[in-house]
Amino acid sequence: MSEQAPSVGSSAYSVHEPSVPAPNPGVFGWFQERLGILTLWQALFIRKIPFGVNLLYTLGFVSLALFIVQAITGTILALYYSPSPDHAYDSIEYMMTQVDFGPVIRGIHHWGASAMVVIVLLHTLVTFGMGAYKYPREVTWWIGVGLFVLTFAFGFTGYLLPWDEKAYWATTVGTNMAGTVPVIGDFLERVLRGGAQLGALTLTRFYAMHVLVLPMLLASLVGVHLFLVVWQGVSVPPGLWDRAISRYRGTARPASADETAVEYHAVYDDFKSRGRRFFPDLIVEDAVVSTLVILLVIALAVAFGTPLEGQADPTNTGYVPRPEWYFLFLFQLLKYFPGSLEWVGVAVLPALFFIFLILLPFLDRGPRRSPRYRPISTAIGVISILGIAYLTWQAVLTTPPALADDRSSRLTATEVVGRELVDAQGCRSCHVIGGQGASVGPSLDGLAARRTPAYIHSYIEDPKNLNPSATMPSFLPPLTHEQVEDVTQYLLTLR
Amino acid sequence: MLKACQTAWASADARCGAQMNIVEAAAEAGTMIAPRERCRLPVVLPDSATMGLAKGPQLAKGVLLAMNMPASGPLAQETVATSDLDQTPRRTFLAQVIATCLAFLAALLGIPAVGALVAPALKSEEAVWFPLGSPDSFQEGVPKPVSITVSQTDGWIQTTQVKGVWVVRDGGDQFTVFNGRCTHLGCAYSWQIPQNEFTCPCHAGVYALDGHVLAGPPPRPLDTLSVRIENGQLETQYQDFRLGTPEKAPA
Repeated sequence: MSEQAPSVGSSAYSVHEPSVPAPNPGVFGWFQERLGILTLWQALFIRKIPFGVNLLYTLGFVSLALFIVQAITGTILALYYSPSPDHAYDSIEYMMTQVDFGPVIRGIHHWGASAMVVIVLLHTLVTFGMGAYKYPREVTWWIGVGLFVLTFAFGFTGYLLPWDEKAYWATTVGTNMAGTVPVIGDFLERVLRGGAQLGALTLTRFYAMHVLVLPMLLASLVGVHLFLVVWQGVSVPPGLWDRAISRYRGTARPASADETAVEYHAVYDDFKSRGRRFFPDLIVEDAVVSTLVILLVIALAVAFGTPLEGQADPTNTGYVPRPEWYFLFLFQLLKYFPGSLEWVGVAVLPALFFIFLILLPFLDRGPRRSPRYRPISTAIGVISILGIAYLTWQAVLTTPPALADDRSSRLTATEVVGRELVDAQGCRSCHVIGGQGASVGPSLDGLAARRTPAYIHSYIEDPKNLNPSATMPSFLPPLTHEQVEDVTQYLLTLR
Repeated sequence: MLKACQTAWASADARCGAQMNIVEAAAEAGTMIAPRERCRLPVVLPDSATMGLAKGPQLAKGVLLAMNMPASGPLAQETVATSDLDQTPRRTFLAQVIATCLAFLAALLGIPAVGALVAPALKSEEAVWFPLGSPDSFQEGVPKPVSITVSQTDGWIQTTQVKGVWVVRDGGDQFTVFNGRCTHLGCAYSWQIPQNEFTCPCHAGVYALDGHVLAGPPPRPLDTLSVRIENGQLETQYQDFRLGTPEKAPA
């Protein structure tokens, strides 16, 4: 009777003997058994990188390192930023004057953005030059093109945020450009701005894109990009690759015949077998180059600081807007199109360029990867680089030098003395001056439109003479007649 | 359209390819290409090193055997001498270089980042002294009202309010400054010349010159503020207190 009953723990389950060796002891072993960290580590870092890899292969890693720097500094900036037109500029000024390390963090973010554009551009160019978009890395290339576009989208949405003159006017031009597209232009412009006007809704829109949407998109695409880099391995330098394929074929197939998957994997695996380990043999190069680039970014941030122009002023008719340097070529390109055809430069040419980049792996299907054996690709690449460089240079040449100055340095010597007196006398205890100060007395912003210079001068010297009920004290003394004139000249510059 | 592009592209590349064959022929003669750049085929294809990520090896191995490719010379110096898993002194050193880079960057970025993050928590609010005027502008026994502009800073948002205080010269350099609000419900009180007392118009609260309650509903004496003379100026720290309670507590 008892022999017929199923015995738990013996015969019924005995077939499932553990086939894996006993797990490692200790805390690491506990996690290793559950997460397989060691397996992941070996697959990602102890893999072999094909023979012949050189320093140009560090650019992708440097791009990632710069993105991480941007994420860290951007997070700190977000702690001290208010995405609203009435406080955005003040919050940036607060960051620059009141927050410990504020200027250097904003500087690293500013210069890091430029560095990221440069490095991502170089990474794309190297990939293009090496023909690394060919089999089997077409999808890696497409995602790379997407990351390239996202990098520029970060730049476009980022530079509105300080809400200074440059931010306001460059974005005005940038969003107006969308409006030139036929039929849907007006709609596009309204979507970009969150309405007809560039204002509070535009700022929140750009802020949300810059800190939520774009980082999530970029991080996801970087994840896929990196997975594909591990999955397919990096490409072999084109010179070595072309010779290896040729040698592998011998006389059996002509050198110009299409490369087959079998050929590819045979040659690639040979390169891989002779290659170096990723960690630490090659990643050390990535680490050193990334460190040097980040050091350069920090040095630029410390040496040159970050520009912050006067607060955005929609009524300022004298401001000549210029975009960031990496958009200058597009800015210059539009000068060559008559108004009715401007949309060709705005939308059609960039769209064609990106369609070309997407189709590239299908167009260029030859076996060769060296630039000198890919005449059409190389010609298109060289012409594009020269064209963009020429347009950028032309735009730089036509930029008025005064633009480099901020509003304070455009003041005359008299006006600067006046501004210092205004600060020293504590005029802001009672008046709003340059958007700051108390409202005991009337705001002095825009004073030039309301009062004559002589009236302002007389009023400061003896308020009760012009207004018997004035509570403002006379400032002659403490100021001299000349100093009152300096103050008057400065007050006349306030908008 | 795409097909035409592909054809044109391929024919242009092919013309270049013919030139490539010449380069290859020269290479075969051993004149142009350094040995270390040559490719060594066929090869022993490692399965373990690829961690199963590459799909080619087995396929290629079979094809290579079938094609019976000639080997193009032993070029052992191309290969990395050490095995994949060896922890050589060189690799230990390289790992240390990487760790140094990481630590260096972490410090360089981490110190400013953490500094900016925690700095507000470490800052103490500095008390602001507001000027009331020259001590000589106050007569002994004659309270004088002074309006001060109190600015409050909340991050980058600044708000200003005009507050009233009464300054009483007790004698010599001794001054008392009263908050200008009645301790009952916060109305502005004033000094009555013939009676020599502070009266509040709202509910008829009456205070003496030293601030103690003479009549009416006020629950406590007038609230005094700290006062000092600095650089020939009488200064005070403005503060509001909770109203309607017997004890003086910050609002």
